[in-house]
Amino acid sequence: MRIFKILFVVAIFITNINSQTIINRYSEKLMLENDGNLKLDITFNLKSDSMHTLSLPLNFNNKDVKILNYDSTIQDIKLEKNDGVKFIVIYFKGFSDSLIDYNLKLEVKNYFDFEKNKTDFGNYILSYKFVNFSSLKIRKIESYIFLPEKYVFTSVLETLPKQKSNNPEDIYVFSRENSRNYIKLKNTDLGIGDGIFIKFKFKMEEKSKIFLVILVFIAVGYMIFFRDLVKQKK
Amino acid sequence: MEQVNTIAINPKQKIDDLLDLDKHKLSVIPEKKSTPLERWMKYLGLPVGILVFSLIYFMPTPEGLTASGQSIIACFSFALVLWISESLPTHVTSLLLMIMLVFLDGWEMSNVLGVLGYDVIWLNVMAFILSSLLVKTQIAKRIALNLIVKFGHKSMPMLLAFVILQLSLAPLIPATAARTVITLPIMLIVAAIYGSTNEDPNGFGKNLLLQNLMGINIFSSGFLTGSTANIIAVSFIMSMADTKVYYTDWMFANLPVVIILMLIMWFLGPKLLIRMKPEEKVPVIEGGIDSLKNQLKKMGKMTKLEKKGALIFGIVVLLWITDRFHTMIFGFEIDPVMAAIVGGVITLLPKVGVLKWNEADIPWHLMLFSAGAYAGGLALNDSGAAKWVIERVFSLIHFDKNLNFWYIYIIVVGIMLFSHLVFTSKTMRTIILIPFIITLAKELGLNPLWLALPAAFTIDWVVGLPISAKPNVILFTTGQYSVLDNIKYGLFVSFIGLLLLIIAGMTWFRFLGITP
Repeated sequence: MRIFKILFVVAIFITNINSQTIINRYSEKLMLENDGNLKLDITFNLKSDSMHTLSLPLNFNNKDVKILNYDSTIQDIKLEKNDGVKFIVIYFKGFSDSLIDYNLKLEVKNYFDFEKNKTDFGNYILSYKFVNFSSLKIRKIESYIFLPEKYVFTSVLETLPKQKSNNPEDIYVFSRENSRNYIKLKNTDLGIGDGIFIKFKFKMEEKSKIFLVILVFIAVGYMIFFRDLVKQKK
Repeated sequence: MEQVNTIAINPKQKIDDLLDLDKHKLSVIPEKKSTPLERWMKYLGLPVGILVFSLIYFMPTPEGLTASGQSIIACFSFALVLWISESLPTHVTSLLLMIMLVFLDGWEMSNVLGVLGYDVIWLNVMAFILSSLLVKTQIAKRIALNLIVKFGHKSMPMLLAFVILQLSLAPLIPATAARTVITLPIMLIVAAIYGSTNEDPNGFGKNLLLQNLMGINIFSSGFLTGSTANIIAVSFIMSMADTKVYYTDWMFANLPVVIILMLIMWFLGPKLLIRMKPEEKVPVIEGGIDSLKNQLKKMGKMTKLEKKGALIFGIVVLLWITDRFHTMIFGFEIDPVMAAIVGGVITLLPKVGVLKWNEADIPWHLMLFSAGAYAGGLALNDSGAAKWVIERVFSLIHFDKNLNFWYIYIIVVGIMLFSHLVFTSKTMRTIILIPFIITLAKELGLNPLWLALPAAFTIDWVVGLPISAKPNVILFTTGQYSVLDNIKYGLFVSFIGLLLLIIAGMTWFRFLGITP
């Protein structure tokens, strides 16, 4: 908890705060590639008002992050590190008193090591967390985690917030876009220091052909071995 | 009065032989003769099961489903084919299912093995200890003889007596499993008097057990307090649809429907589904009904052992009936399973109890069946596969505002009703489906009550499979009927029920203001 408090203070220092401002919607698409790199597409929606800069948390410590692209409404982006936490500092071009979508694209090199993280049944375990170290509250957050093509989700091991048994609304949903499976994690009213977390298993979508052959043998063998069941009794 | 001895097909049996349940132990697997159709089903069951499994398992993983979910659906479908066809003994199929769930990355081993510790399995064990208590002390025999002497000259009044019995127990004891445990030994003895044992079950025994299964589950839906899931459904309707539903609203609307449904099943079941041979329609006792009267007379007043047994069983029943006052009396609520364990402990206590462990007839092979089957069902719930199946079904139907209300009503109530085939938990089914139905109604510009309340009326109609609910699991362990018999009865009652809900929706519910 102490680290959260320290980081919160740091976040306040490095950001030009307008206490009335909130991030209306924060959406991030994390696209895991076959080579272990991660492409990150962040879109957030806010009224910049009198803000010059905004620091967004970048929850990829000890990873090499590269800026790929950003909107023309953004003047500049810098990656900074304060007390071990990485931030994306966004410099706005001008002020806006209406809600505007801002978009930026990043790449995290060597995010996931497929060799090291392989477990039983060919599963890989991946966990992801987003902690709101920015100085603004987030009204609605959506994290999409895309698997590389031909990979499927096996199961979800843990989430934050937890899926309550009496809550009909899902914390996460599985879906597919352009032949890539993804999981969507969502939450609302994320205060400063609050976070979302997911840990899941995934694997290559391939089934053993030998297993299918064995099944055929069992079926045929059974029909031969138990043919007396339907033999006409004389 | 028709005398039993006019039937000459079955040799008459001595009453002591029939009522001596030590000779028809449930823990012993009897050898059963198969008909040619059953032999063909056994022969083709495994290959068909493998085919079904392969089609599901090897297909590309559908959108929105996990690899685990796909494995679980494939394994469960395979097991379902095997349970129906009985290619392998049902308990072996269950064990096979447990292995497959683990080996095919469907469900964690600790989860699969943990099912043997679930409340339904404990309740099963305790149910058979309490049943053995009622059998050994002769209480069950006395109640059964009284029932038969009063109603049981013929099969139909006998079956009707059980329908009435279950209807009267439903508002008193909300826990369906408890009702099953109370009536199970009586069912077994009555079935035995009609010549149906687990070694050689007949049409009467099948009808009796299955009608009780239907009655225990379906009568729960006649009352708002019949199950926790009913209360959850109403709280969703109240919070999401802003409509109050009172106890009497529920009862006036649905109780007549379920009573008519059970009467239809009572009448049609033995005539259409499982026909009874003439010799199965009367008690197969040497000397006929007079012999049973003599037997009852011979039993005389209650013995000390009977009184002791009645007292122990009475304590358990009292705990079941008074569940809503437990917190007031004890400071906490005693679960029906714990109440049964209390009864089991007293029953087995040396000198105080009435039963030695060796006298308790517990069919362990069927406990294994229950555990495996439950593991399959729970894995479907836990992985989200059951929910995915239902969502697929809903997505196949393109609902829009121009659709006729009654078309939407039939589809929604039908899906809610038949969804019990993929869910083992009524609560989970309610939490997933009722809010979904309320939202759907709102999107279509309909009053949510019109769809959600009739759908909620079917929450307790969990009759299709031996694992659909706790009473089903307990009753299946008597060995009096097959998985196929259960499915046949269950699906038939579901279709008739749906038809009744449609008719009620257009008439009775409309009169009560539930439907437009």
